[in-house]
Amino acid sequence: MAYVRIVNEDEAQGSVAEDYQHLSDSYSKMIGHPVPAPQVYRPHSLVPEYFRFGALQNRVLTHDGQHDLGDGLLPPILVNFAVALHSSCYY
Amino acid sequence: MGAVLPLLYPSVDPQSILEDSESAPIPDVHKAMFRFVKKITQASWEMTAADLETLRAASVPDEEIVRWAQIASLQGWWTMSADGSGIPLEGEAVTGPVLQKPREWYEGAAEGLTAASPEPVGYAAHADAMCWVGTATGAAAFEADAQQARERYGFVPGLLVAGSLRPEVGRRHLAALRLLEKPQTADLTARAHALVRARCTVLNRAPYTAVTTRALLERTTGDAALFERVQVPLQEADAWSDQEQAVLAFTDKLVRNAYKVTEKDAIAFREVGLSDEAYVDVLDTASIQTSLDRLANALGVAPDPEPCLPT
Repeated sequence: MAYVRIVNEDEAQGSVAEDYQHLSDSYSKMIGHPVPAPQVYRPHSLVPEYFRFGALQNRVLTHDGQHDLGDGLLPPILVNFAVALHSSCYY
Repeated sequence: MGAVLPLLYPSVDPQSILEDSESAPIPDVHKAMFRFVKKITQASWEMTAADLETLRAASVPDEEIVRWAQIASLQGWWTMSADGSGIPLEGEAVTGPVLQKPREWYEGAAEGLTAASPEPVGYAAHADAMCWVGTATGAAAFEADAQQARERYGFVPGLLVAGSLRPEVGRRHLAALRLLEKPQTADLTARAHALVRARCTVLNRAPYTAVTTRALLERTTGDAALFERVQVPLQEADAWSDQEQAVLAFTDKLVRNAYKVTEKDAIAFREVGLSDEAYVDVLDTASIQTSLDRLANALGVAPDPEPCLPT
């Protein structure tokens, strides 16, 4: 249970509903089967402008959902992991 | 995120990396990345040009350095907002607690598990160079963002230039700057929002972004001295309203030790009449600001001559 109210897909409207759809499509393409938007985007759902910012970050990091930017020297997920580790991030 | 290690290092004991990546049996370039990211995450203000030279000596090109810094700053936003909101985990198949501890453990974790920011003492001077990494401002993708910036701010922010080796991230920076210009809900005052931004740059000791947060605070409040008050430790400052005290205390906790945020922090907002929307507004303002602070510190971006605020 999050500390603040979350607007999930069933009550999302307008840009939040659009962004949920984009995120689901993006992750489904990456994983190879249909999945909903990950939890990590949802804290921002109460304020549509921030939720859109999360969706924008996904667009930036996936080349607008094409997932063709390549990994560079290291896979991005490893850099993400290093940040989570050194932040003592629970999530 | 805990499930990442077995996928990437199937023959390495994950615990060896969790305990000490330096001695873990992983490639040297991976260790270099862990060192770099640790510094960005825990003490970005201590980053120097020599840190980047160390990476170059390990055959890490500038484009990759910029990429790591950008990803790390982006991920900082995710980790802060995730821990600051208490969202549930994605599921065992996708992830797990990085340190394999229950959530209750984090609230009582010893101070300094993640290095706590010391109290602010001012800003380190930067070198004369515009930034510590190479730039590539000729690409069409960069120029499109640069033109947007010129129209809005009258100049191209150094942070945008410093990231130009990876211009695809430029539009994220521009969006962040626009979001941070004002609160995004009616429940957070412009003054409280400007205080949050200023406090973040103080805690993160980010001279680059302080140019903007100082100007925003003065523009919003008409008080040229307020930025100096934001630099005083909260427990020594008694001039804030109850709401401002709650907002600033939350900001401090979030920036220093986001893993220590609990539901009590959201309740503290409600007790002084602030809504969940205001909580999210502060959560995002602080985490986006911190991501910019860390990125500017990591790449050694020299302060812009003017604030990144609409002309």
